[in-house]
Amino acid sequence: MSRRAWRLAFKMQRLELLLFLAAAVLLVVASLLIAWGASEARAAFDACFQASGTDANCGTSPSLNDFSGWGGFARIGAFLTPFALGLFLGVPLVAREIEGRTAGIAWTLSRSRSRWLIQRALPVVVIVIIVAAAVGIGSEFVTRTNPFADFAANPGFADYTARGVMLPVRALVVLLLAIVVGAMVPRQLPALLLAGAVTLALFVGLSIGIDTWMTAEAKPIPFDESRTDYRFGPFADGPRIFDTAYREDATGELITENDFFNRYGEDLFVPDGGLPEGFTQVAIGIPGTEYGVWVLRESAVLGGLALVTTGLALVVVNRRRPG
Amino acid sequence: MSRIGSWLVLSFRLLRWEVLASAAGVALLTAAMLWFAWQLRTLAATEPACLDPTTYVEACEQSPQPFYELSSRAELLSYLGWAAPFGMGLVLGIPLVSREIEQRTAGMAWALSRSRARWLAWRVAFAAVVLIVLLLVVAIASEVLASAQMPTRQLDDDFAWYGRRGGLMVVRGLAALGVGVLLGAVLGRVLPALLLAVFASALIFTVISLGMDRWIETDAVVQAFSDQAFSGQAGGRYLGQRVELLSGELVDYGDLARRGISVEVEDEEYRLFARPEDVGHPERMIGRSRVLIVPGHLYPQIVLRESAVVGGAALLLGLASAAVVARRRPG
Repeated sequence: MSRRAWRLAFKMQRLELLLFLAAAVLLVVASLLIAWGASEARAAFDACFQASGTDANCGTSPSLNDFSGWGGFARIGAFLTPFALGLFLGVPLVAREIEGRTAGIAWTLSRSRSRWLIQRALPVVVIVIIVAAAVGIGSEFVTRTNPFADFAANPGFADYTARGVMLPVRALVVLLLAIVVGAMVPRQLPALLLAGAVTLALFVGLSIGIDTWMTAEAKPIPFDESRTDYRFGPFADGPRIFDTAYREDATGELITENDFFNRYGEDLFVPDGGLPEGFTQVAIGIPGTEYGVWVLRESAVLGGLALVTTGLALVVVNRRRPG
Repeated sequence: MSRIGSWLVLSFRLLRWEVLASAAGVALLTAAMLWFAWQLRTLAATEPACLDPTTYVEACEQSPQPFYELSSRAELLSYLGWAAPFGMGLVLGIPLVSREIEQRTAGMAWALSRSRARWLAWRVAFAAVVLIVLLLVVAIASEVLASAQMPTRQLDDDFAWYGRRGGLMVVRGLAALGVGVLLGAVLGRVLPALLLAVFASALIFTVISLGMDRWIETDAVVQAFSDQAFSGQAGGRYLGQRVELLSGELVDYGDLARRGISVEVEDEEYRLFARPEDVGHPERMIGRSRVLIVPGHLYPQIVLRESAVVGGAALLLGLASAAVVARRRPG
């Protein structure tokens, strides 16, 4: 692709690209600052707690609660980034040309409509992936320095949809979907609303599907007995938990909480609320160590979807009238 | 065709997709709200005595369960109702000027009109009328749903679902319309204007909300902590928990953390202590738990106040839009 094609693609969506670049830079810088601050605050808290044996007078300023709140906002921004990028950069790619009645000339001047679409879309695809990846990296830092967890080594499934590799993968699929809808509906704003509705339906369906798949492969995960301070979570590696159950130590049989109470009532529970004798409480879920596997699986599904929408976009652009 | 008729037809044609999409959304939302309200009223009619959360009735252990399950699902609709004014205001407002500029028809449209301000006024008037009609439907449906969801409460003097029912929704929609028109006129491009308008709306309404919260604190009263006050069951607007220190100073938990004061225990009388072993030693008490509440009977006054502020903002945005349209180049 020539430099002229890149410059034209940038000029056609200059305002949107500049707005998104500015927003992404702000979000990434904010994420890094929050991560650094949270890490420092948590280190100070831990040092005070270890020295005094109590958390009295170990408050930091800003507090761990403050960093947790700010981190939450950063994660929301990261979660929304793929959708905002994909919709606002994808819809006008074709829709603006059709609405502005310049599609006819543009398609005529190009060797083929497919070539025109690829030349217009490719620079935007690259920019979307880079921007989403940058936001994903910033969000990864925020997750790993969560002041109320110990995720530095392995956050597992914590903030699964708002950090790391999932952001550029999702952004790519949303972008391609938005291009297709923009090519079908010749007005930008209605196309944006429709693309938004389709994206929402798609990702709700995907979320339900992945959850169902995970539930089918869920396994018992023992609570980490060494973690005595549950303010920072009962697990060190961020598993995805769907349920809790009791495992009979003698037989290894797993009994869900409902079945357990139906079978034994409350008689087995010790008065101070401790675990019933002969049973170990376990979580049912996917261990955090399998995060990479599931990211790969979801990326494969989304990658397949990306291929289908690319084909659809080419078909729609080749067949539709330019006006 | 009369002038009004021509105006209506032309304006509708220019905003057809947006008006139809908004109307379809309102129709779906209203139908869902009314359906849930009907279901809730039917369930409530079977055991009316079981629905007062402030009164314990032994025979009512299980029976209100279906009501409360449906009620929590119905509350999700109220959040869609909360978002409707902002979404519809922007969708109807942004293309009014920006589409004309982007498609290079603004020059001709402004030249054919007696003045640009007049042109803008006629265009905005149509969008405002459509918006007011649609939002009134949503506002009324929200009130119906709210009264079905909370059958034992007097909602005229109650802050429940504040901002998610009633006339305030219409005023917020008009302010969002103003934001959309202004940014559409400034940028001259539909989608970039929408993008910026989303951020601008979030910023403007957050500032208004924070300002109103500060203002409303002057009407708040400090009460002893109770579950009823905390959950808003008494109709008041809960502004937050406070700690009344021994000196009489009222602070929040964030202030306590910043002063390095840790609270681990609260006894049955809502007295706060740093450590469990301090309980029973009044001299080691840090303070008492309090809540900041705006009384429910101030609800109409507070809604009127916020409507005036938001309405004033809508007016300013409209005037700013007129100034921008009068001065900018049509292309």
